[in-house]
Amino acid sequence: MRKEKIVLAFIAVAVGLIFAGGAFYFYQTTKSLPDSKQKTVTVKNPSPTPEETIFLTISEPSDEKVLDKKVVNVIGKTKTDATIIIVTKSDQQVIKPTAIGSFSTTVNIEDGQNIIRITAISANGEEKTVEKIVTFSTEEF
Amino acid sequence: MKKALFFCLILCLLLTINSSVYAISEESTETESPTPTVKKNQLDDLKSRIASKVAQLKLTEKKGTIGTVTDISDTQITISEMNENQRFIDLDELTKFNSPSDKSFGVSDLKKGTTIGILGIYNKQSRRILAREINLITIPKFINGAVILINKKEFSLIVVDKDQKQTTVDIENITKTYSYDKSSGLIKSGFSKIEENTNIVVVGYENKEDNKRITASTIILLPQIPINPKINIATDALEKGATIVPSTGSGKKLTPITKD
Repeated sequence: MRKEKIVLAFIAVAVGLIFAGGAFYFYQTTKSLPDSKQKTVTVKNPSPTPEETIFLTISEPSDEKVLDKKVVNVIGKTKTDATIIIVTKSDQQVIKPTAIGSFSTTVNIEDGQNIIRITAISANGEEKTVEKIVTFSTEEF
Repeated sequence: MKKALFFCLILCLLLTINSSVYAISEESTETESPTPTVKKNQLDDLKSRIASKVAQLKLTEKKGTIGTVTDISDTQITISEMNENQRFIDLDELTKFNSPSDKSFGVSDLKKGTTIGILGIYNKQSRRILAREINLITIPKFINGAVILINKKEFSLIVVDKDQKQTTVDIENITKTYSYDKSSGLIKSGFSKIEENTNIVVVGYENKEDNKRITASTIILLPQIPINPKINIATDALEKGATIVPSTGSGKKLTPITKD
């Protein structure tokens, strides 16, 4: 008896929902807006995105790093069409990035403080430069 | 309904008994194998020492930087770094001073405007460096730009950078010249291969008498890479009165050559 009541209640709710939904749909289809309230929206073609400017991020070495080796890994990312020039007081490298713009190389440094200057020059000549200071020292303190 | 209530009651009772049994067994394990007080104290001591060392290591790190002295006292130097940031460097009795030309170089030899390299312990909290080594250094000048004038007689170039700053670059016997080719990479080159309106990277050292002049130690020519669009390479881009003064080879200059 109780089970029958629950089933009946569910059926009643379902029928009610279907009826209400049908009534709402019918109301929406017959509704019309007066011309004065209608507005024309024109979607303009989006303006072209400005050309990407050159970028250069260096993940290694970190600035002011102290190393106990005279060979430093230089790892970074730039535009895929860029040419990367890495210069120190005693070494120089010119490399191209991979298809995803990442690059990795090694440069030699000297005793004490060294400036590693990394420049990326894109195909149109735009350039971006990052300088890192690295120190070679085997001193323990 | 009564059945359900009875079932819940039994379930709660069972859970309570189970957890209390677990608690008793935990306690009993501890009492069965007690740690001697001495050993426990030693362990605590070791733990605290490790923790303090880890904290210290986290707080400090070795760092090396370069800057120009802006202020000096017996215990502190203020420097201006390459990015114009000001930084305080602490000195103590363990700080060593080195100069390539003067073995007796010390804190009293430091003057405002001196360029130094600092190696020391950086404290992340105070953001100060306790210097362990201070070195008198000469930092190289780097120029990325375009060649706008070549003096083949005097082995000099005028290079302009993206800020339109013109620098005269003297080529000496020590100057290493390279050229970058997309197919063969970096190859050795020479002064005769340098052409006007070419992209160039110069590493050199400033002329002490003329800050618009540098002596090149390395030159990289990039003929296949276009010049930065910000660089004005028009023939009238030469600064008014810009000249390349011939050198006698001993550093003494003769008659200036002026661009027509």
